Amino acid sequence: MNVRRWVSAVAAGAALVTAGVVGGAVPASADNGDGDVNCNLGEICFWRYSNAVLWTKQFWYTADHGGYTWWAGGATNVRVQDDAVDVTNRDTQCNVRVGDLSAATGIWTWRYFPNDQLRHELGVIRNANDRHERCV
Amino acid sequence: MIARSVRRVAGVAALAAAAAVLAPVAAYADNGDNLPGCANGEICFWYDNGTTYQKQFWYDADHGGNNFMFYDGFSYRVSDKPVQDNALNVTNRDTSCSVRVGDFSGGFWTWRSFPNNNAEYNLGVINNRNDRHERCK
Repeated sequence: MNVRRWVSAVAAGAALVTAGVVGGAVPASADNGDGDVNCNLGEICFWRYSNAVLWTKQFWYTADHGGYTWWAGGATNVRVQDDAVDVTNRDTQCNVRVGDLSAATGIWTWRYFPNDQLRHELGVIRNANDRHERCV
Repeated sequence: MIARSVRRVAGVAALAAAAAVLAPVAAYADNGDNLPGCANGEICFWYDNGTTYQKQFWYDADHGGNNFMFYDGFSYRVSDKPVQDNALNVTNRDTSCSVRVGDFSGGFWTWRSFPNNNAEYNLGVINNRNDRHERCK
């Protein structure tokens, strides 16, 4: 973890603690990147379309997608898992792979994306995304 | 990995002998133990749900340049069917680890990993898109 990611993580952690104190229960494991709506440096960002509107979800770290929901100008109840179209890898260090776990066979399918700052279609993982992992 | 090493030495020796006696044989050719069927230690690809067209490897390999072996119960020879982008199933009999099979398209790799459990798996989204396989990744 480089300094930028570490500093951002600390800031995000502080924000979570503050939100937890002020606003109510926040899962300790929740990862929402820097908490800003933009896809900023260091984040792993997923995208979904609703008509012409881009829905977003950002992460700092490796994560299962179950339990996470989309941001569409406000929080939604729409799950990220099995419902994403694009990914942008702004990780400062490495590739990110996005995976689909087949319930039928227990076999993972992974598609690898470089940290090139660009928005890429998930391809065969589109709407089948179960998890992403950094640096593997 | 003693078994694999022994097989590798034997395979290289056989290839060297064949090259010396017969004709040009690609030094990098990998056909597992050069026998039909999927033996212990081999990574095996299948053209369909039958066994007529099969291809065995010991090691990591790009699939370009490899053709399925034809086997009808008697003859075992190279067929005219390419392996690349043309396989349906895989059996991983690697003695150490899982094998991933990949499709390179649109500038990105998609990999599907298969355990070394001797079962024959459909390649799924890699079906007829297989470009390469890698051990222990």
